[in-house]
Formats: sequence, C-alpha cells, structure tokens
Amino acid sequence: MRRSVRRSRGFALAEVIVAGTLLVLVVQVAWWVTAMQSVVAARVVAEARMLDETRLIHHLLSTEVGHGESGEDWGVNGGELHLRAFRGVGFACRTQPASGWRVAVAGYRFPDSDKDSVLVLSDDGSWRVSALGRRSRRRTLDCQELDGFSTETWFLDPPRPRGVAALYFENGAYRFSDDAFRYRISNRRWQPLTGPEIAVDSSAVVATGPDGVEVIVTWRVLDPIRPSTRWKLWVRR
Amino acid sequence: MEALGAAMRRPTIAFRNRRGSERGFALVVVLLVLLILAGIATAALAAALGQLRAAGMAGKVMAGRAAARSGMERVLAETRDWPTAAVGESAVELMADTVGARGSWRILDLRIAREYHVLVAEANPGGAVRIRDARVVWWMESESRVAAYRAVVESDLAVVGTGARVDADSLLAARRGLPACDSLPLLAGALGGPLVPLVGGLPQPPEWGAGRDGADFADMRLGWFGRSMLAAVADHNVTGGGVPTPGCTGCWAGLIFGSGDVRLTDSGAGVLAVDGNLVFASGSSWTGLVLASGSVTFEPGSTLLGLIRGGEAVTLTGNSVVDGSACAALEALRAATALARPIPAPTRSWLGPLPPGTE
Repeated sequence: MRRSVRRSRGFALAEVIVAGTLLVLVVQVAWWVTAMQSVVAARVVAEARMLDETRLIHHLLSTEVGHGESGEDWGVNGGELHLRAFRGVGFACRTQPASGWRVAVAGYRFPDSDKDSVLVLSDDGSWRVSALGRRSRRRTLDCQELDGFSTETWFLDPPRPRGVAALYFENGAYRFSDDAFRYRISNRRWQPLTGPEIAVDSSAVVATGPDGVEVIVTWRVLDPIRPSTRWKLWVRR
Repeated sequence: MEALGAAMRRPTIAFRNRRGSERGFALVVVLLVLLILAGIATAALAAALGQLRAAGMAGKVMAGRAAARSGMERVLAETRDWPTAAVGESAVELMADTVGARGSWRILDLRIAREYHVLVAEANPGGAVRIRDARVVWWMESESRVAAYRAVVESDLAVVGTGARVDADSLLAARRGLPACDSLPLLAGALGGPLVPLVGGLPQPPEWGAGRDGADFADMRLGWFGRSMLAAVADHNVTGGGVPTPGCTGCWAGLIFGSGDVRLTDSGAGVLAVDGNLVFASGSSWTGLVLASGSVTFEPGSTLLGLIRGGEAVTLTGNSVVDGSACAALEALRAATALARPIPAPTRSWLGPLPPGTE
C-alpha cells in the first residue's frame, strides 16, 4: 500500500511536467492559431474590400464611359480619364414658355448651373452643347408625366429653341494618385473613391483601340509571398 | 486501523481530485480552441456572406441592365407599327416580358416631339433592384414627312416641256379613292396656303442631302432612312435597273426600292425610291411619293399623282402630268408599314441610366 501511494505521488509530478509541457504547447498552438486567424480574418476583410472597390471602379467607369462617344465625350490623357460626366437627362415638355426651355428632368443629382453644361438634341438630329445659364423649378409646370421626373425651366446659352432632349454633364476626370482612385471635384481637388491601398505606380487607365478603355488596378497586400493583387478591368472594348 | 485505513485511502482521494482538475483544464482548452475555430468560421462566414451579397447585387444589376438593353433591342427589331403615344401625353407601354424566375422588364414610349421618342427601359430582375435606361429614337410620322415638302416637284433642276403640266391647286383635296387631308393641321399649315410652288429646289439636311450625317444620306434620304436602310427594309426591290411591278394596279405597294436605271411601264401606288435614274414610260402612272437620287423623266402620257423629289433634273415631256397631291403622298407613306419602325437617333441615341424612380 505504501508503494502504491508513492507511485501516485510520483505520477502526479510527472503528470505536472507533462501537463505543463502540454499547456505550453496548447498555449503556443492557440497563440499561433489566434494570430493566424487574425491575419486570415484581416486578409479576408481586406480582400473583400478590394473586391468591392474594384467592382466600384469598374461600375463607375463603365457607366461613365459606356454611354459616351470616344474622343467627343471622353479621352485618356497622361493616365487621366477626362470625360463629360453625365448626371441626368431632360426631355422637352409639350408646352413651352415664352422664354427658356421647359423640360422634364431626372438624374443622379439635380442640374447645377455653376458647373453643368447641356448637350441638346435638336429636331434636325444634331447634338450641340450649351451652357446652363440658370434654372427654375416649379411643380405646376405643364409637362408629360414620367415616374421620377420633375419639371424645370432651363435658360441655355446659346438657346436651343428646337431642342427635344438633353443630357446635362460636368467636366470630370478620374485617375490613380496618392494611393487611391480619385475623381476630380475641382481644379485642384481630387476626391478619393477608394481606400489608400492602391499601388499607383502599377495601376493605370489605358486607352485601347479606337473605342476602348482598360483599367489596371494593383492593390498592395501585406503578404510577403504575394505582395500585390492585380486586376485588369475592361471598361469598354 | 481506522487511522491507517484513512491514511491509505487519502492518496486515492487526492488522485481523484487531481483527475477532476485535469478534466476541467481540458474542457477550458477545448472551449478555447472551439472559440478560436468559431471566430475563424464566423469571420469567414461574414466575409463570404458579404461577398455573396455584393456579388449577388452586382449580378442583379448586370442582369437588369442586360434585360433593359435587350428589351430595347427587341423593340427596335420587332416593332412594325406607327406610334400610338401622343406628344406630351403619358408614356405608352410598347413591350413587356419576364426575366429569370421572378424578374420582369418593360419598354415605355414617351413621345417628346412629332418624330422623336424616348424609349424608357425598366427592368426588375428580382429583389429590390430596379434598372432604368433611356434611348432616343426617331420614328417616322407620315404627316411630318409630307409637311416638309415646299413644292410639288423638288429637284436640282425642273424642266416642264410644252404640253406637260404640274398642278398644285388640289394638294389637300380628296381624289378618287383618296380622302381629303386638309383637316390635318400640320399639312394645312405647310401646304394649305393659296400659292404652293409647282417646282422648287432641294431642301437642306436632314430633309435631303448628307450634310454631316454620312455618305449614306448623300443622294437619297427619307428622314433618317438612308439609302442602304431604304433598300434593306423595302417591300419590293428592283436591283440593277428594270421595271418595278407592284402587286396590283392602283393598290398600295408599300415601299419599292430600285437601284440603277429604273423604267416604270405600268401603274402602281406607294413610295417609289430609286437610287439612280427613273423614267416614267408613256402610259404609266404612279400614285404616291417618288424619290430619286438621279434624274427623273416623264415621257408623254405618263402621270404622277402625288409629290416628287429628285436629286438631279426632273423633266416632263409631251403631255405628261404631275398632279400634286399631298394626300396621295400621305396615304402612300401610311401604307408603307416597312417604314413604321423606330430607329436609334443619329450620332448618339443612349441617354444613359436613369434613377430607379418609385415602384
């Protein structure tokens, strides 16, 4: 019986050593797994964000460029995509006032006479640009009804008395600079549209062929094995 | 013995206690590992669900855009009728169909001018996604086409020989088998005056000539139908010269397109467009609208009831007659259903995506 007790105590000591070793191993493994989980989770989130922002770039440019005419509405110059950024449409109303042009208007924002111009389709089939001098907005104006449209009177310079439809636009530009994809909101200010993880040296907006635009987006990734992720987007082919 | 017995049992109790402690430790470790695994799985699941949602939304937007665009193309390809929408009135639904299992699309026609329409494509591929796109189309209106005339014979040069005549005194009056058209305000305003010229020069683009509209409109056009499109959509084609043979004498033959030198020897009615020279042989007659890129010659005894536009000289010889009738030209255009189709506005037709509006 005494031997048995001694054996138990000895086993407990060995057991403490083994348990301690196991604990260290488990803690190490847990620590490693936690660290890896953190890295993987951060990577997953970062990659998801990259995908979202890559999609955003593609959607933005394909929408902006997709409906325009190469050379006339957009062009690539020095790595910057300069374009007429169309923001909405206007249709001529049936009855017209003595002065101004009454239109039904819808767009992603209201026209802005400070920065917008108007591309007008006349009934002779020609499209011509006028400046949007000023505009007035009234609900009571007589115009055909279409869901989502409101009625305005535009004063164009020069006037387009035979206009039937119009597109209003601002002169915009997109480029990669300062670690992000940016849109020019004024002469000197470029608004970031993405996070600051773009390797701008390896990213570019490129004109391809007579009517195409390609975008190469390279994202910086904190991964020693694969330090960057590169996407090639065909905005228009 | 009791004490010895107790002493002998104590280590066993201690051993059991230690074993119980080990079980608790293992549980904590297992819970910790499970927690970590659950954290990883949750993060991955959240990211995957987020991506799935974003990709699903992007896919729906693309599907909606494709449905809107394909619907628009279907309308352009399949619509063969005159527009029913009125200028300034509410939009008229032209076509609607389903997309996918639960989606739908429709094309609305908003008439913004007599011959200009905005087609609004609305697509709902399912879920909360709603895509709207707009396109300007030109859709011929017979009355506007005829009202663009300023003389019975419009040409580069008009020669009316001795004995031949051009009449313009009953332009809007009823004729045999033709109703009067003086009640149409546009025609009454353009051609209802007391002094409509018998002959006149060719109008400027886009009524006639290319201008900056491209070579296809250079020698012949009918609004925004150029030479090649007129040839493509014609009900009857007379290629390489020859004799147009309408289906029946005096009935509306629709659009007849001829290329090369064409000689009319019979009677017919409709829109006669010739990319070349046209000769009305003695005894032949035509009712309706005549367009020719080259010269037009009326031999003695030939007659035309309607309006004519020739790119070069129009010559009337002998006792040939051009009896000006806007009503005949109007009926010919109305009967030419091959021309009753919307075509994309010149140069630029897409107006771009519209905000979704409200359901």
